[in-house]
Amino acid sequence: MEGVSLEKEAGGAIRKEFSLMNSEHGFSERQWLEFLDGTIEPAEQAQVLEHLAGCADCATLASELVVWRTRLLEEGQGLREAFSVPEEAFQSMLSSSIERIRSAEPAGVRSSFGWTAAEGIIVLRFLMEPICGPGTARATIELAVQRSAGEGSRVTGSNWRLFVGNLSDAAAWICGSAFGRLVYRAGLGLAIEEG
Amino acid sequence: MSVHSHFTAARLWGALGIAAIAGTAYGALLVASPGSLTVRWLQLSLHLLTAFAYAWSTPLCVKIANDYRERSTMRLAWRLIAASAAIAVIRHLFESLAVAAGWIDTRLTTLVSLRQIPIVVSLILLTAGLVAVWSSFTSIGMGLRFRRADALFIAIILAFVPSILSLRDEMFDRQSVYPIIRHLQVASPMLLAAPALVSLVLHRITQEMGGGPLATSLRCLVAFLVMRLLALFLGLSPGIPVFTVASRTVWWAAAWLFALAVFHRWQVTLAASELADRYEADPDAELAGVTHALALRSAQPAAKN
Repeated sequence: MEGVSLEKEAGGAIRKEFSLMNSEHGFSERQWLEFLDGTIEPAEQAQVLEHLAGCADCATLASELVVWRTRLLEEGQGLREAFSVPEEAFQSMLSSSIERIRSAEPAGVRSSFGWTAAEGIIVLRFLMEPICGPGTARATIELAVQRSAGEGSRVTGSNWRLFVGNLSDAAAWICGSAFGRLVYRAGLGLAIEEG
Repeated sequence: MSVHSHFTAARLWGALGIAAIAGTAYGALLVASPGSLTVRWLQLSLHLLTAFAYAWSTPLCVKIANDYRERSTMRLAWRLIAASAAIAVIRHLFESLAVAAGWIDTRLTTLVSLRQIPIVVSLILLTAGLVAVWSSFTSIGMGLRFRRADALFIAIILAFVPSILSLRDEMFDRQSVYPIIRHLQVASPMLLAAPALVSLVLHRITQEMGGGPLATSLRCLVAFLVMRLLALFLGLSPGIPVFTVASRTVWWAAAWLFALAVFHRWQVTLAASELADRYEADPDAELAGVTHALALRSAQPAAKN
């Protein structure tokens, strides 16, 4: 599966190389990330490009990072459309997305990770499934999405709290207040990005 | 430490097995030597064992009900189920007393026939509770889809009613001196069919749920209801010894399926409470754990591929 190979690339060798690039080639991690994002200052961009022209290792690695970033952006787009795709494709997308989350962040700082609403829903769903069953988790999430975002709309950072409240209510209605409290705590523990 | 903490699913299944074996022995002896002392002892033991199963379940049902919010349909459902179980305890204790005191031989058509009152009240409460469970699920869009095969199951369940009614003269309490008891006895097949019909809906809900302790709980409830109806039907054919034995096996084991249903539902509350506490204490560690578990799950299909 694509997500697994991405993790190996991103979380393993590339991350080590990234550190080497920082320490041995005179550029900070922030500069590399801004360069890849295209948000770097023009003067710094010129310095990086000049360095890449003369450093084969960094050039190879940078091109790999560009590919990796592009794929993750594609996954993010896929996640945004997650509720309009078949269940199997949805599951597959979710899996690779979570792989990305896992590989991109050190353990212990998950709540402050820049979660998208779709990723947040995935985490909540995965949390709920072993207790109330996949079907119940799906039904309560669908109901909460409907109540929070309305027909044809999406859950985003701006309506996340409302969504979590509605999901907690639906979960408590079927499985009890303890379960509703769990969903509420876990949902609000995720810092969801706006937009 | 409460009596509930000593019971695991395995122990409840063990109790179900013991009840089934004792029920089979009771049925076999009932065919071979109906009036023997061993039969009476087994009957008394089985009533007490069944009373214990319902008595064990009743406080858990109340705890489950209290886990739901005020004015929640599910809270009402579990209160009704708790009341049904409590009345079942009274019924079985009363029957134990009837066996121990010998009323089963001397006052069968008078005092003992009054057992129909708790039987009927318990069934009505149970049916109302199950309808409330169904109603709760429909509010989130579950339990609304049926299959064509369901019509066949409904027909089979409904077919039990006239079959059982045609054999009503075989029912002990049909001979009661009290007219009200005779009417209640006639109503009991319908009162057993009603929850069995609801169980069909609950079965569909468990299929929609896909798994988890909540689905297991509902499955046990479904099995409990179907087994009771089956036991009643089998028990009304005294001319066929195998049916007599089978009906006792199924009947005495069924109460433990109810206990299992309650047990699994209670596990949902326990698991959710424990997890919620953990999230309150250290949300980051829990989120790390859940994403890690999700990643592991996602890696499994990749390994297979």
